[in-house]
Amino acid sequence: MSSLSIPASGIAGHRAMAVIEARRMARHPVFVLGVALGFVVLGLYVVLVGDETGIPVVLTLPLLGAFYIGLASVIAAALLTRSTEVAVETIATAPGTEARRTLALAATGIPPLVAGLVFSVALVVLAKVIGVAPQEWWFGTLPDWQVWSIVLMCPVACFDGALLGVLAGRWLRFRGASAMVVVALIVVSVLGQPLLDTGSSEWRLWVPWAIFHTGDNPDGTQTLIAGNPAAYLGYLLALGALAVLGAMWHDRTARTPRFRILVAAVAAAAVAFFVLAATTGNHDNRDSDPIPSRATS
Amino acid sequence: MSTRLWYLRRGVAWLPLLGGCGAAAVIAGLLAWWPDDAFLLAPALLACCAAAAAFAYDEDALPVVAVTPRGAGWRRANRLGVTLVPLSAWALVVALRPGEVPFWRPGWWLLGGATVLLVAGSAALASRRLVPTPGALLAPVVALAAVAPVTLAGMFSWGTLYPIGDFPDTVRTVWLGVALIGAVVCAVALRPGLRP
Repeated sequence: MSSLSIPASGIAGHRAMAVIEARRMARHPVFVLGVALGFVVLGLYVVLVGDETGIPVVLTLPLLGAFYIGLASVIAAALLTRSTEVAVETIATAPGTEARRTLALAATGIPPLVAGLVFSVALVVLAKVIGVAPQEWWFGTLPDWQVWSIVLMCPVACFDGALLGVLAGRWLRFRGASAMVVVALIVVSVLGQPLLDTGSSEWRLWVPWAIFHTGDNPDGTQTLIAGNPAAYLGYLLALGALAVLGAMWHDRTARTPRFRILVAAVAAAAVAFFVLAATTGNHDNRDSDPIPSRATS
Repeated sequence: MSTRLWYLRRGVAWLPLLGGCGAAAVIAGLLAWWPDDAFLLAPALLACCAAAAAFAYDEDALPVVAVTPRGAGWRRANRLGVTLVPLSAWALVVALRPGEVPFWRPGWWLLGGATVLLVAGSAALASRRLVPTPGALLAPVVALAAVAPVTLAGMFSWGTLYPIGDFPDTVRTVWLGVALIGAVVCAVALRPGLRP
């Protein structure tokens, strides 16, 4: 009965639909499992890998949250999007369009965003409490905005993961599509960035997950890879927006001239952020001072 | 035999199953092109083969066919044979060693066989519990799980579960454990009858 009380149109109706989708996401077993694994692995890392200097290679750790929470969100959001397909004829007779339902599905990104934010805050707090080596790329050796930009890549990737899942759920009808999307995302992210290639590393930033920190090198140094992480964060957000618009594009009735202009504007913003990320910030890879206890050669 | 083949030809969701094998072939091509990235491409290839195996038990009309006179056990046992398709794809790639990646073949065959066995057993178990299309959920989860150890290998000192070159005894023990669990799951799933 509660669904009948939802207004058929307007902000209130959309908010109600978005809340429903966000709740479905927060309760989805795959998402819950991904979040749990992300935090368990972070905990294990802090307990098992820490040395006398503190937590090693902190700036690589957002990858853990992005991988476990973000990729689980791709799967969960795709499954949630596809879940209404069995009743598509019934839903089609209800007030509202497919594009409106897709926009509500974009709210599935909220729980991953929150989980990613909690992950990032936990990371920063743990690094503050346990400490890091003085030579480590972190606050103090890097400008604060660069550190925050790299740390916040985790929640943004988690958010984008859900939006990509909605896009995949809308367009890819074959079974196992989300499995293929997950594998493709990982393969593209790795093959698309020739790590430690100092000559062209800024242009690697077209990939959906760019690495800015190599971890410990054999001589105990760490390499900060070229590029502007703040602009890259903007690029990731623009990709997420494009994913939502791409999913809404599936509804032919949504393709109004105004909507097309919006898509073009967001695509242009994505390109602009990418160019900014590749042409500003650090132009060369930078090695930290060596951390003697981490040298292996 | 002809009855079994007739059933498998019409009953199995061949499109996603062969699609997974096709994706594995594409990644094998990438592996030949970028052998230095085998640390990730080989697990991604395994992910595709394992995801393909997850579809072996998809059957939309499961509530109907599960109660036919021939029995659900016959159906589940025959469908297990379908996993030979992704398993063959995996075995072929490991045998051919694209990009001359130095896989230690017995170890990598064990690794793929154990994973596919565990996935097929899990799908069969879900089918036993009357889940009509376990592949829809199992395939993406398995794909993610197959690649996840790569993230751990770079951060912990445990070593990798996907060793290129030497295949340490500890890694072999882990994969033998996975194979054992897979065999147990299959045995439980293939018992005659429906739910436990």
